[in-house]
Amino acid sequence: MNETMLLALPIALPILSGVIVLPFLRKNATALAWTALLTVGVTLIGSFSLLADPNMSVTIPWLGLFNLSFSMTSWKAFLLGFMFFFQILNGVYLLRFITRIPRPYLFTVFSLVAFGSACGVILTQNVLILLIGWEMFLVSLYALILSAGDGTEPVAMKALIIGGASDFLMILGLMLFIQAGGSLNLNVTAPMEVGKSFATFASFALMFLGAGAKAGMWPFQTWIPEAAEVMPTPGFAALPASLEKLLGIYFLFVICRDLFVLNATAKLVMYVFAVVTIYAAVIPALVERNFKKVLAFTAISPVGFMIAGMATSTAAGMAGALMYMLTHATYKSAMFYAVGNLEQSAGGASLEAIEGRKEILPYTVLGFLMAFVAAVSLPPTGGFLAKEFIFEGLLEHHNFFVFFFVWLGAILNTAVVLKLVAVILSGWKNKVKVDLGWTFVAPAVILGLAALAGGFILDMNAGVIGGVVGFHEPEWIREVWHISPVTIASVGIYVLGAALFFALRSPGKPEWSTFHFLRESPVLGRAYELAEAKTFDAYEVGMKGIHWIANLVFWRFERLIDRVADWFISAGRRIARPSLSAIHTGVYSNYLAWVVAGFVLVSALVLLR
Amino acid sequence: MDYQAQVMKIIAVPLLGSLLIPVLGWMGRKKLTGYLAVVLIATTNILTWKLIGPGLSGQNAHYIYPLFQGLGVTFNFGLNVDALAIFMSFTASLIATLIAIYSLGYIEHEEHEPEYYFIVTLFVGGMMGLVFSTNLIFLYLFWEISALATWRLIGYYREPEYVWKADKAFLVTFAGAVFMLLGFGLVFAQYGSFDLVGPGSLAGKPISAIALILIMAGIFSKSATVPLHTWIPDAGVAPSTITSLLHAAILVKIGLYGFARMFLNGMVIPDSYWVWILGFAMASAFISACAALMETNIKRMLAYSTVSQIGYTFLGFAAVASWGYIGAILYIMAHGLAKGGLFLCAGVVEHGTHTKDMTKMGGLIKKMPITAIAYAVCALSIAGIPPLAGFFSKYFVITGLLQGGHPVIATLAILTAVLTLLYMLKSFHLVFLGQPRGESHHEGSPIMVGVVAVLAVLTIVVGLGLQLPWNLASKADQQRQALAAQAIQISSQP
Repeated sequence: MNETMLLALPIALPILSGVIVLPFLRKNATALAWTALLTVGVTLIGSFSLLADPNMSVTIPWLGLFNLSFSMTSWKAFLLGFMFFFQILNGVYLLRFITRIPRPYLFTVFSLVAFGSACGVILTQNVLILLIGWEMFLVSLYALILSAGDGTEPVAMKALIIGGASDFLMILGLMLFIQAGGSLNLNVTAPMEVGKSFATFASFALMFLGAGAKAGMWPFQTWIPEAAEVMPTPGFAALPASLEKLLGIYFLFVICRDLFVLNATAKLVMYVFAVVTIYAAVIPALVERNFKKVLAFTAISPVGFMIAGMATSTAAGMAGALMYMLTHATYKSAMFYAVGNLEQSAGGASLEAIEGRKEILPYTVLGFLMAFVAAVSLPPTGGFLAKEFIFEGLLEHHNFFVFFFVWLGAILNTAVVLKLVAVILSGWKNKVKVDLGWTFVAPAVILGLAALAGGFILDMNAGVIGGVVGFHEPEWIREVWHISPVTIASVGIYVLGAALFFALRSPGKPEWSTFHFLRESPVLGRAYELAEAKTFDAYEVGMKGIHWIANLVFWRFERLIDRVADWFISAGRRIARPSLSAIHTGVYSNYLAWVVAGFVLVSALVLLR
Repeated sequence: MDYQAQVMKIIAVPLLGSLLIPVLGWMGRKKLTGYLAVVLIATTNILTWKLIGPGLSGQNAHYIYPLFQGLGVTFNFGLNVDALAIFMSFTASLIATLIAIYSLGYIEHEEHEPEYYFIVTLFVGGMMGLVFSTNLIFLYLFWEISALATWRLIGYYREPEYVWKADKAFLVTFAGAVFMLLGFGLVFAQYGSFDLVGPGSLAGKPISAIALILIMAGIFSKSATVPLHTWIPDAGVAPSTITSLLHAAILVKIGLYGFARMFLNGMVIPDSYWVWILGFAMASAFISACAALMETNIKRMLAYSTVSQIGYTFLGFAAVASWGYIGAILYIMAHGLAKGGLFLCAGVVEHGTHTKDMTKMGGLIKKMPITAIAYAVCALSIAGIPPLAGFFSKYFVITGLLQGGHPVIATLAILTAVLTLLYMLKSFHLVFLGQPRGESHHEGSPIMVGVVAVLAVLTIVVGLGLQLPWNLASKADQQRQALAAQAIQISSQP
């Protein structure tokens, strides 16, 4: 295969298989799942030489204006390998789960389209193609939500509208970027100073919001917990919990490294969004009763950490953000697969229902616990390395204020995840083991193991990450097992997170009720009430605003125009009818006179010229 | 290549051929009238294919036939073959062919079949005549053929309420056309010619403000631009094939084409007036998008959507920049295919459910899966979701606005695109998703479903294979630029 075919393979094969092969199997759910897995497997085998020899690129001119350029680097190969690993585990999980999905055909087709699109996003060197890949991914997400059956439509619509609206922001930002002298081609464009002009700042801000929305940044995150509740487990584990975040953060990274040089204002904007994102997710997570929604909230707060890391513009901060992106995708997927299994055995995803499942699904719980170690960033996980790098980046620029808020957020996050573990481990309702089968258990356990060993995996690939973010000083963090000044901050997170959890849990009460007293507290209680009424939901607020404006324009303006038009037409008919009847006599000479009059008029016009 | 004969055939086949349809009707062969109409319109489309090659190579030609000479005035009939005309004739006749094929399934149980096909074919003939005409008076005459056809087709079902809506459409567009004719008169009084090309023509010549206002009144009324747009949602009482023809293939596109032909490839608008045209276009796009969001009648919603998207296309033209111009031309095709598909899907749905009220529909995806997918594809294209055709066109239009130095309008255009996504999704959810309401429904006839599927596929194909339409549109832009350079030369002459 030549370079073009090799680079096209991971994009085209899954999409083509999804839209051409799967329709023939639409009646057979199991065949659909096997074909989807086989497609990913064949794509992986076909892409071996691409992954093994990553330095290649192709450029295809298009419309005489764009270059459809794709490239493969060590960093991209690493990301792609990571995505294949996920997709194969997801495919394995799907083999038996497929029969529990109300619309299996829709699910498998768009799983493959989403995967092909994600590969396109990673491989392209052109921002427009990146956007196209993103949109296909977004439409796939919409379809995957709908695959969960009736009642999912509002969530699907919310996800698509938030994603679509943020894309429009990104497109406008991109256009401003090009107007300011930038290029769509990442391999030729030089990073632009954000502070160069208002247009460059606006371009950065719009693209940052667009990419942030993809990653699940506040205020665009509200669809994620709702999707977690309704989406089939492999769908949520594969897209919102992992791939989507990965791509969103990847694009943010492209913006912060390849397209712009951040100035102080841009960094400040990013820090504000980072901190608000952390708290907008972790505070509701404290009192949420649905296990999957709690996990979804804890999938949002890490986005804040990653953005904070990237905002530092330091090699350490950037490296930390990228490591967190990878490690988070791993442990969060493990957790989702695990909770999917727990939900199946419990018949529901509420914390109460899932309480005490360790005896029933021991391997699943083991997978969850391994992921938990990464979630609270204990060594030797990737989470440990990632957080320390982010902290180092923040301290390198003396951002103590931001550091404090991020650190406090991490403490709250630890307390939330500890509560989840306590829910699973505490008490038991039934000691009879449930055999879900290896296809359900293996993904959770394998991803749990990968999360646990994440630090070593990242350490082995330090050169790849260093290659894209550059080398950093003061290099506090040199290897997985280390003690550095920021390790004190990490220890503080573990200790204070655990202390918070144990101090605030109520002895004698079920674990799921921990932190629920906050609902009764004067300030937070009211805030929770308002949040549950969706008062803070940017989508709901935005939709109300749009409908108010549309209503006003329609009834007070557009309908008024129509009434005026109708009045004129009626009046015109009333006035014209008698005179038209008078001149429209049906007599030939009458019409001849009109023709002559017309001729005289035209002649007069000509003569008057 | 003998363009002259080819273009004459393109105009004559539907225009003269349409006269055969009532003859067949009188002969009692009513069923054959539909097939004859399909043959005539499809032949028109096939004839345009031969022009694509020369169009892509940038060739253009014009032919002048003097009709009257005297008093120092020459009155000509003229034909102009350039990339813009070729693009427009191909697009309009292609969509019209698909609509005619769909009609075979849709109209077969209706009365007055011969009349329907006669007027539809005449309509296409009028459009072809207008597209290739170079003389303002002939442009007007062909334009009015379409106005008469519109009037008859909107009132096709003969009920008094429908006839009133048809009268409304006719009176608004006719009133606009009268203003436009007055504007042409003023232009003639100024330059002594009605010709847009050729020696002594109006090409590159600036026109007065009052002439511009009068002509724009005509263009806005024909293209259903706010505030002269209210006839088009009311026209939804017509059969779906007709609304599709009005919105996607012919009528409203004539306004856009007329604008591009007269002011971007012909006369020159004073610079200070472009901002007003942009303002009207933006207001039209935004106001009608708001109205579409509030509508629950599927055809009225789609009609408002057309008004909004026509505003978008005007934005591209009025940006007076290459990207905008190319984007607007491409959007004529992208919107035509997608909106044609949407109206025809609405026809399938209306046939199956006997209602246009979206709040009384739901869950139709289970019974009408192909129609639902086609609707989704077309809706996403109009909403500007890549890689569908609508995305690229909108992208180019907005880039054109920025290129032309209108960042605020570009931002508002993006906001309108978000509204478009909203109402399109809302309609898809109301009609096709959720729980089924009402009686059991069924998918449309194979011919109807086949046509909507073809339109959806074309929407995808044009998006993925944009190179060919892009090449033709960029040739049209080169020809526009050449004329603009000529205009600058004229204005710099002492």
